[in-house]
Amino acid sequence: MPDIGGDPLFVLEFGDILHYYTPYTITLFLLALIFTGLAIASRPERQIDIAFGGDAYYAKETTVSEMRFRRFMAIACGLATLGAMGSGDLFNFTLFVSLVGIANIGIVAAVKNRHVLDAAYEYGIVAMVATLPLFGGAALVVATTGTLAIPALAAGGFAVPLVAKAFLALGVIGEGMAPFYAAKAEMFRAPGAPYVIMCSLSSLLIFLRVVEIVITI
Amino acid sequence: MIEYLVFAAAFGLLLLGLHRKVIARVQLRPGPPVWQEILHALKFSFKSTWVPKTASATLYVGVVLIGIGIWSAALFVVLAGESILILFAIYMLHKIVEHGFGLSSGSPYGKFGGVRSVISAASEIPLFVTIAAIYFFTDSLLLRDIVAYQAVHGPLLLIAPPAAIAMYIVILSKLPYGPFSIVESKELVSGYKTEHFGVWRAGISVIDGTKTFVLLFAFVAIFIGAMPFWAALVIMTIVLVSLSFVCAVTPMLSPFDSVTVQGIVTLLMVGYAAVLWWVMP
Amino acid sequence: MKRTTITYGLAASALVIVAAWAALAASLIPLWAAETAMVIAFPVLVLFLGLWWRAPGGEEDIPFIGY
Repeated sequence: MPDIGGDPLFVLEFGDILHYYTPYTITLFLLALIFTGLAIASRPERQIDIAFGGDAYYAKETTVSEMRFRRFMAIACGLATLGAMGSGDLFNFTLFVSLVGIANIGIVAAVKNRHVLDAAYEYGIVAMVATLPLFGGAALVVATTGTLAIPALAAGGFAVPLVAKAFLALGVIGEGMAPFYAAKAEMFRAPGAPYVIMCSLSSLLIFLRVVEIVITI
Repeated sequence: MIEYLVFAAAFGLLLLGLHRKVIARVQLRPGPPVWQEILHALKFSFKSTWVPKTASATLYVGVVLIGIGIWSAALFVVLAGESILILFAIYMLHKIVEHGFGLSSGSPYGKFGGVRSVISAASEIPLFVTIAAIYFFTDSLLLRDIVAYQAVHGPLLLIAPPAAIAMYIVILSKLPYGPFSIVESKELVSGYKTEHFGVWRAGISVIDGTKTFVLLFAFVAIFIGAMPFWAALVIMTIVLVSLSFVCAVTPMLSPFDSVTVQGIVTLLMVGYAAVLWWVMP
Repeated sequence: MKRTTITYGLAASALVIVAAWAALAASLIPLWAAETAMVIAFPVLVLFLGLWWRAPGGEEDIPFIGY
C-alpha cells in the first residue's frame, strides 16, 4: 500500500477496483465535502461593481435559474472531486478528473455575459485538449504494467515509464487550469462566490492528489 | 490539546508582533509593542459585529471556521509527526480559504485580494519540489521518519540547502509586509481581509498566529531535526527575525513581478530535483 | 443571532473540548478522535467567544463628520 500519505485507514474493494483513504486523502476528501456543503447551503453573494468614471456603484443580482444551474454544476464538481480523492484505480481517477474539468466549465459558462462566456470557451478548449495526455497517461501505464490499481503499482515490481507520470501530471494541470485563469478578470465578472470557489478548490485538490499518485506509483 | 492550540495562536501572534517591531527598528521607526498583534486579536473580538448585506452569509462565516480548523489540524499533524504532504496540502488549501474570504463579501477589494491569492499559487509549486527533494533523501514523507533520518545523518539544512531555501521563500511569501504579500497590499485596502471585521477579524488573527507558528515549527522540524521544545522556539524566533530583515529592506513587488520571481525559484528547484534524481541511486 | 443561541453555542463547544480532553486523559478515546473533536470545536469556540462578549449593537457612536 502507498504510505507517503500515512497508513491506509479504510479500503473498499470492488473486485480489483478499489477505493482507499490515507490520512492525506481523507483530509482532502473532508475539505471537498465541507466546501460542497457550503456551495449547497450558501446563497450567492451580490458582487458590488463601480460604474466606470463616476461615484455610482451597483450590486449584481444572480437570477434564480442561473443560480440553480450553477449550484447543480458546483455540486457535480464537488462529487467528482470526492470520487477523485478516494479512487484507488488510475482509470477511475482520470475519469473523475475529466468530470471535474467539465463541471468547472459549466459553473463559469452559465453566466450570461460575453466576457465570462469567452473565458469559459477558452477554458473549455484547454480542458478538452488536456484529456488527451490524461487518458494517454493511464493507457501507457496499463500497456506497460498490465494493471491500473494504484496499490498494486505501489507495491513495486513494475517499471512505470516516466512519460506516463508526466502525462498524468500534465493532464491534471490542464484540467485544473481554472485557478490560473483567475488572472483573467473575465471570470470574476461572474458573481456568485460559492460556485467560483468550487472551480479553484476542485482544481487544487486533483492537483494535490496527482502529486501523491505520481510519487507513489 | 487545547493548551497547544491556544499557545500556538498566542506565540504565533507574538512572533508577528516581533516581526513588525524588527521591521520598524530596521527602518528607524519606534514600531508597535511586541504584543500588539495579541491586543489586536482581543480588540477585534469584542467589537460590534454583523454580516454585510451583499455577502454570501454562510460562506462568509464558514471560511473563518474552516481557516481556524485547518490550521489547528495542521498543528496536530506536525506534533504527531504525520505525513508532511498533509501539512503542505493544508498550506495550499489556505489559498482557497483566502479566496473564500475575498469572494464571499461582494466587495471589489476583497475580490481582487482573492484573485491575487490564487495567481500567487505559483509560490506553492516550489513547495512540491521541496517535498520531492526531501523524498529523494529520506524515502519517506512522514515527519517522524524525516526527524529520525536527521538524527542519523545530520540536519537536512546542510544536506539539501536548496530545498531549505525554497521553503524559506515559501514562508516569506506568507508573512505580512514582505516582498510577496500582494494579497493584502495597501492599494486593495486590506486585500482579502477587507470586509471581515469585528469577531470575524479576530478569527483571522487566530488563523494568522497559528499559521505562522505551524510553518516555522515545521521548518525547524523538517530541516534541523529533533530538539527540546524551548530550543525549537528559540530557533523559530531566529528564523523569523531573519525573515523580518528581508521584509524590512525589500519593497513589495507588483503582482506579476511577484509571480515571476517565484516562478524563477520554482524553475531552479525543478532543476535541483532533476539533478538529484539523476545522481541519487 | 440571539443572545441565548450564542450562549448555548459557546457552552456546547466548550463542553466538547472539555469532554474530549477528559476522555483522552482517562484514555477512553484514541488520540486522533480527541484531536478531531478539538479541530471541530476550537473554531466554534473562538467565534462564539467573540460573539458572546462583543459590544452590544443599537447604541451607535456619533459618526465623525470632520473638524
